[in-house]
Amino acid sequence: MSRLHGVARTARSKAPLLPVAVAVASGAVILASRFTSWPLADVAATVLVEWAVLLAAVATLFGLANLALRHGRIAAGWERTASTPARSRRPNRGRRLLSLALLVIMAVTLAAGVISPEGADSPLSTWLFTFVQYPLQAALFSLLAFYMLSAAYRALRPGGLSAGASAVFVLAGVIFLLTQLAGGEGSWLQAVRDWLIGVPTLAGVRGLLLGVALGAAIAGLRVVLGLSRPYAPAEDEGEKSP
Amino acid sequence: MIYCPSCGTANRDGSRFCNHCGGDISHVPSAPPPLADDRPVPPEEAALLEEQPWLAAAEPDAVAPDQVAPEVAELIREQPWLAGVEQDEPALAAASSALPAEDVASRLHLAATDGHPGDAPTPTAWDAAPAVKRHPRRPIDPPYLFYALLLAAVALPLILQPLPFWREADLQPPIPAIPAAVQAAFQAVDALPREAVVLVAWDYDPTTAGEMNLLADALVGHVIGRGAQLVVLSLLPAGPPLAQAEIARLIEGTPSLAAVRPQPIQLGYVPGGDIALGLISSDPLQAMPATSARDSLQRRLLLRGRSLTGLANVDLLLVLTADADDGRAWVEQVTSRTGAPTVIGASAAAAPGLAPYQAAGQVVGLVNGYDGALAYQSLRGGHSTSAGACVDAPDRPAVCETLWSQWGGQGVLLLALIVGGGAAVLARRRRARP
Repeated sequence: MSRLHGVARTARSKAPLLPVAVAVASGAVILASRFTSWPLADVAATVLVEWAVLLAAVATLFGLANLALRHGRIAAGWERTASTPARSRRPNRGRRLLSLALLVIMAVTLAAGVISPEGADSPLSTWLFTFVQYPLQAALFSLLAFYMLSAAYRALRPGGLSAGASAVFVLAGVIFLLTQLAGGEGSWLQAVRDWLIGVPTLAGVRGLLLGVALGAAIAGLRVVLGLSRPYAPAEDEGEKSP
Repeated sequence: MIYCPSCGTANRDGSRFCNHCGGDISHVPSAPPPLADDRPVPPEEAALLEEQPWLAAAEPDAVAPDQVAPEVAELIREQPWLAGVEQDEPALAAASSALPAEDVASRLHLAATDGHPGDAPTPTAWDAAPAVKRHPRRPIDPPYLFYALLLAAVALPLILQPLPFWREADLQPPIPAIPAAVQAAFQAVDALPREAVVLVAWDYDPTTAGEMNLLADALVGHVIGRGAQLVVLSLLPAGPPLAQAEIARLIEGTPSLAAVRPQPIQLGYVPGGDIALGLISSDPLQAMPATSARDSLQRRLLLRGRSLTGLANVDLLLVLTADADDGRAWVEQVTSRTGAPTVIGASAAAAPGLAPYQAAGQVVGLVNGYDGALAYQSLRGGHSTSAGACVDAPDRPAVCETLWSQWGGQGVLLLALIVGGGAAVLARRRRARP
């Protein structure tokens, strides 16, 4: 155990100091703006958050470039994919066509927004959104109903959850669905449903929220104190959660 | 290797959860991997192949070794000649992944032992192999029947409702009473002054628009009807075009709203996700893209003697979200810091995660799901019950058309839970029987 601590200390001392100092200082400024009424802290925190928003926007552009590059390589047959057969060096034709389609659609969408003086509100952009993106996203999500149905049917199958947990899951599902289906206004079933939602469910969710808040506070403190370094380079990864 | 009893995926030794399905495999003992395709053929198997050459026509890709369920792998180790049957018959191989592993194992047992599990294999068992190959049968998976039932339960009411006989019957499924959280939301919007400024966070995209648009119609329609100035922004890239289309449709489809001549201000997409909320709460204009819409907003607000340097000037924050985490972020990052009265329109799935904030009074009102949208529309129509809105034919809101579909879908889900659970319990008992 002490040897492990020694290793951790050594690795930590070798970690670059500048990123840790920046992260700790930024965290301290944001905390100060929250818990004090010092005007300078407020101004500094606003500037930092503005930078973060800008970085997020720029990161989106990098993501776009990375996506285009990756699919360009796949379309050209230079890069293998997860679905590439083991014996083949190049992805199959269907996969390459899909990547090509993605690139073409991306270029058209981008051009529609960039070239038009109306920007993202251009007629072509609106048409693409209304008749391509909207139905596709909605249709994909609608499949969730079938997954839920399949999960409901297989809830008690052996090999998944334990028998006790499965029974609780099924019982809860049956009670909620029954009270939902038959619990019209004035029905005693609605009173049952209201109690279930208002007492045990609410208590459970409150417990979860408290747990999440405590976890987030601890994770944030670890970053502020330099104990966790999610921003560190890959070789320091082992030290992210000492 | 540890083979997941649920999906049959091979996991590394020492794994506690399955890499594929996430099932608990901490109690599953480690097992050696099944025989590879290029293994040396044992003499007895070679003799068998010589006698029954159809067993050699194995399709190597029919089933990957790591996709074989553990029980089947165990069986193959005990009785290696079964490996040929498994690989030779794609339908059977597919069934091994589609069906409970125990079923496949018991079928193989029966086929190999002529109906007596544990008995030594007999030649008659092998006689059945080519017959299986000539007539591959894939058993019907019961969920497929439920899929068809679900499709019918959701689609049929939508098809039948416009027909005269259905309209004359005027049937409605059981509709719950108006929740207190919806009444509170209605009162908050109804009390808005004429020149009010309402900031709308349009935080849902087409994925959940089927449900969320009904809530948006109810809440945003009411806000516009009160003559308030609508300022719309979104933390999602697909939010602004959706908001624009939905608000335009709402205004065009409702003569009373069109008469108000609303001019909603679309501020567009604010990048940064939850990080941007900190900025929105301290300086909303700074968080918004420097567009003509922002300038227009500044001008209009100044005309009304208002400004948006801080959300304290906003009369109401209306958050429309299908994600409990997004709703939570708005409440924790914006409402708690600025004190802006907040009403949330949430999907039924997101509502339980947001209910504590409403119960604690941090959020003024919470409207969620189809039931919430219906209850809100009923209140807007001056009805005292949720069912009231669906009685008046002229102002019948769109949500009334979805009630039977929702009811039917939930009914099929309940049926699947009961039938699937019952079948599993019976199967367990049957297996437990000596």
